[in-house]
Amino acid sequence: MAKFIVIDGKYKKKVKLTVEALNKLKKYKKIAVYTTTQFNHKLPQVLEQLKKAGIKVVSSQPERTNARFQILGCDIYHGNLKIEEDIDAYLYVGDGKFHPNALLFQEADSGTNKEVITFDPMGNKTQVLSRKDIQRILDREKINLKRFLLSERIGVVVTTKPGQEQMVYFKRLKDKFPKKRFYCFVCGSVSFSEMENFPFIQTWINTACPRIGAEDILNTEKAVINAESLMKL
Amino acid sequence: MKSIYDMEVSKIIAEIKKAKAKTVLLQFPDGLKMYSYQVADEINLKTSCFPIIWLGDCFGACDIPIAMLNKVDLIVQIGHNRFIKNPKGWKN
Repeated sequence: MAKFIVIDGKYKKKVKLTVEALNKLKKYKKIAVYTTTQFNHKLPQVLEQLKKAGIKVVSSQPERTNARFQILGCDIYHGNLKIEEDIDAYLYVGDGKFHPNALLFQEADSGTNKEVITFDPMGNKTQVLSRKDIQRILDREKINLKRFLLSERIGVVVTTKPGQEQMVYFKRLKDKFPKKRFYCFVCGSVSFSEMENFPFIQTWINTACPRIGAEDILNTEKAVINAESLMKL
Repeated sequence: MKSIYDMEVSKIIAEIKKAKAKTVLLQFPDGLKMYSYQVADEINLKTSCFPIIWLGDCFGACDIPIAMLNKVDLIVQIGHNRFIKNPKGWKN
């Protein structure tokens, strides 16, 4: 069997908060800082800048990560973060929306809906994200939940990807909703188009990456919902 | 295009030599795929190991192409960190 290794792909350029970013952050007394593995080694200077600005920093090591300050796209439930203190807002250092959106989702999950300030070191851009940026997805999730409740035949999708293979949900779902008929499906990458071949399924439950039940649900007419969201009902 | 990320190719080559790998599968998340040829070029230049680039998705360290585990000697995923997995997931 092949050996498997990971390489961080560390960002090689400077990471320094701009005056604009610091000014936006100054309205908060205490913030939690998160980043990805590409930028984590560049955080000390950012933390020093925040300290000088009088902003208290809180950090955690989310449950599936390998380092403090690191966040993964799957950290969309508040419990994933393992954060122990109350904070006023989040600072995400890195590029893209995938990871800061995870912070928005876990805030929606906890019901506190705090803002996420993003700082992209590549273009030195600062943005303020809030619940309104994911509201369309939350609304659709609510619709899909209602569609699930009205469905009789349910497909549960389990992936073979290591660490995502949550077969455990199948039995939990069957126990929780004994009147519904559950069918188990297994695949590698979850594809909405493959679901077309099973028209007898009225709602699909995703047990793989929870982002499939987040942003991706806007890309299909089908009712797709994360297993975890159903377990919270 | 010069990569703005450190691909640590010398570390990859050291792993290839350590594992005596004849084939290596290189995986990159979307943002790093554009630099993948640079890693393959250097492996070709400095070793006799055959580099294969994964075309498909690589969303995280959980995204290992398990069908390739018995087909190559080494899998290198660039751009991700070690994933702490819950091994209890599959069994009820």
